[in-house]
Amino acid sequence: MRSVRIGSLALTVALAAAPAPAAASIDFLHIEANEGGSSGGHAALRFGDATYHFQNVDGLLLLTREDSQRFLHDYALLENRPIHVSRIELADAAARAARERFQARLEAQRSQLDALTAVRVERALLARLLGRARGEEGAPGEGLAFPGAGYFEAAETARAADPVLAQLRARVVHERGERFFARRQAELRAQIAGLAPDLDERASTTFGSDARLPFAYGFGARYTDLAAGLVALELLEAARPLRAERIRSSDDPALRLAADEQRALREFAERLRASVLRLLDASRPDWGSALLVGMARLVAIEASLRDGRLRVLDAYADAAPTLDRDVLARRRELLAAVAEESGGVARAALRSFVARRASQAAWADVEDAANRHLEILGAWREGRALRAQPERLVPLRSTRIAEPVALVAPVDTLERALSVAKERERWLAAEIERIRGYDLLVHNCVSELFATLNAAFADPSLAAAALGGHVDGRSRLAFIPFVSADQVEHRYRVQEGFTIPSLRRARLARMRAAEGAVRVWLRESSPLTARAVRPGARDSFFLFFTDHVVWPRPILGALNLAAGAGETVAGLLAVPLDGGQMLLRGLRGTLMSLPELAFVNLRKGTNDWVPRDTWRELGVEVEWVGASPVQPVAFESPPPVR
Amino acid sequence: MPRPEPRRLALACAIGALLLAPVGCSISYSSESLSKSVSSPFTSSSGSSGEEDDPAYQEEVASFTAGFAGSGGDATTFRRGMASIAQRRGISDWEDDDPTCRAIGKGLHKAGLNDGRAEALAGDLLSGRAERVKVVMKGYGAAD
Repeated sequence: MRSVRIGSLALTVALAAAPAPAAASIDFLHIEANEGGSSGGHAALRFGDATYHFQNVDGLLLLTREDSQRFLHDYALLENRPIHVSRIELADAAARAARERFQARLEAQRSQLDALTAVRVERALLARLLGRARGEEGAPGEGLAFPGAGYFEAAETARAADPVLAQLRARVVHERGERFFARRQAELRAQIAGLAPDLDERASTTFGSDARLPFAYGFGARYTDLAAGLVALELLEAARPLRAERIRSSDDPALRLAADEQRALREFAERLRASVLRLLDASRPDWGSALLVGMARLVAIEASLRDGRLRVLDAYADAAPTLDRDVLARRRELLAAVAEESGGVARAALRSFVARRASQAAWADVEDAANRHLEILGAWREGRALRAQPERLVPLRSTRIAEPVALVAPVDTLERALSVAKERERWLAAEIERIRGYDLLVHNCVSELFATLNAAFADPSLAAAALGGHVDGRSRLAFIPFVSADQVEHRYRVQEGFTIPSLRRARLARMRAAEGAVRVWLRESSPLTARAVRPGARDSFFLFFTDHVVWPRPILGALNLAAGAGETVAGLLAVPLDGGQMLLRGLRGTLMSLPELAFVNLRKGTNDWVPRDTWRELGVEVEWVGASPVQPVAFESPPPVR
Repeated sequence: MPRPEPRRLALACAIGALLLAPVGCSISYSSESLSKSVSSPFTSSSGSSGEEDDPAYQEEVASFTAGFAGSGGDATTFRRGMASIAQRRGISDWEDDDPTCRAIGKGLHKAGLNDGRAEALAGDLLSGRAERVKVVMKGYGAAD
């Protein structure tokens, strides 16, 4: 009996000393390689609805945070890349620390890039002011850009005053007096002229990836903000109408406003009007640019309310690139389906605008969704070029003012300020290149992922305790995604591992179950006969998929190599006609086929577009994806886009 | 010659493949893709009907505020920085945006300020507009 009691006591003590069960998990994602920008594979970390990963952007390795559902859509669906998930178990506090570290790094990165952008704007402004001070003629197209001012007609070409702005102007005059505009503009000119450029030659020190540079409201930003106020007042005083081509609309059913949407829009317009009037007296530094966008939005919204049809400002960036015409031409048959879905998204954004009590963010969502829908409609029915802008669309079309207000500061002061700005720009650019420059072996998407994760803990032993082990993305071959994935699986506290199939693999599995393995193997082995996916417009030409086989891979790879070589030869001949596009595709195809000779598969084909709810075909757990998919608006043929 | 282990052979092949692909980790067709061109951030961030349904934006505002409150600085600089963040989200008048003001309150809480200091600072940042300071303090009170 005594031994049993002692045994029970020992067990109790042992249980009391046992660590509390971990309450959280994070997912390490190893994304298989494919043709194109990630031929070595890729890696990411998922924290619930946010996935962080590093990407090589023009030679800089930049951290990106993406919505996990969108990440899944981009990689598993569009790029046909299986994702191997290692679910790492860790304590709640550790998971929080890791996520905060990634978020802090993202914010530090943003602060550094913003600082570089700001100093570049300041340098360009100072050069222009110095030129003006010296009596030099500015180059055509040179000048200060004013976001929001690009929606208004130029003075020389302006038609009659806009009635909405004329009413606003009348109210301003009534409340503030006849001399308000003249007085305020004179004040602004005096303020601008009296600005002192920054001459502080502060010591240039090095900083690290996590250094959050404090936001600085420097000379360049102050000048631009005051000048934006001047421009906004001039436009309001003239009640300048909007440029017709900068307001977008269509008779498309998705953009017709229901009664409750009109009510919400009316409420939003009233708040916007009040905001515009308040901004005229605001001490906020950005009041000018806020006024420009606010006025333009108000005119578009009032036009929407007049005929019950949504009108939005063209929110694409000034120099938004267009989708390669060849890419579009090769997949034109998709546009009808894309338009149906984008119409559904625009409709859902309008419903959300009502549900979110007509908030500014909700309106920004409407503008983004409606712009994209209108862009697709234009490409589909009118053959217009399709602008390509994955980032959020925000209405900031700008115009350049060639003659900024001159400073009273003397020429030698401007020269010194320009020299200081140039040196600061040089230093910032060099630092950012030093800490974020991409290097395949030692500074890549894998090495930085682990460096950031490890940095969340005070020292390596604490990181190892939190994660179950240590992985150094810079050691030996760990920079290769599948090697690091293997290390994660064997060293970290991995609760479970599973694979999210690519879209093609998921469809092949269902086809095999329904039709039989042999028949599916024969049909789906070649992109020329496959039904699971159609070759993407950007894919190089190849005869056989090799991701689903192993032993026949070298034979199929040799045939692909021959096809790639053939396209290369044809491409050489086609250079005068297509500028070398086929040649480049052929070279890429040849390159992608070489590893297949050694049993290594990279190429998996891509998809140009798939419906949003296609993720259901992957069999992915619901927590990875958000709310139910958007219901598309079905229509026969779209009306013309204005 | 001894046969290489399968694992080493696979590694050698992978290295070979990588040597052919010097641009690993690059953005894959971000602006060249039809799908990525037309995909709206709306459906990713705003599926629900709640106002605080853009967590990335809320986090950025709160973090910026906490950083400012911790390091000091003048209200004008804060307002200009906040305007840049809000502008990226498509919000032109952040002072009048309730979710933004609540996120500012959350940031003040994150900075460890007590009620009194938070309210005083909120007053500075929101140009003394009492009704907007109330919204900021609601966010402060709701922060954990």
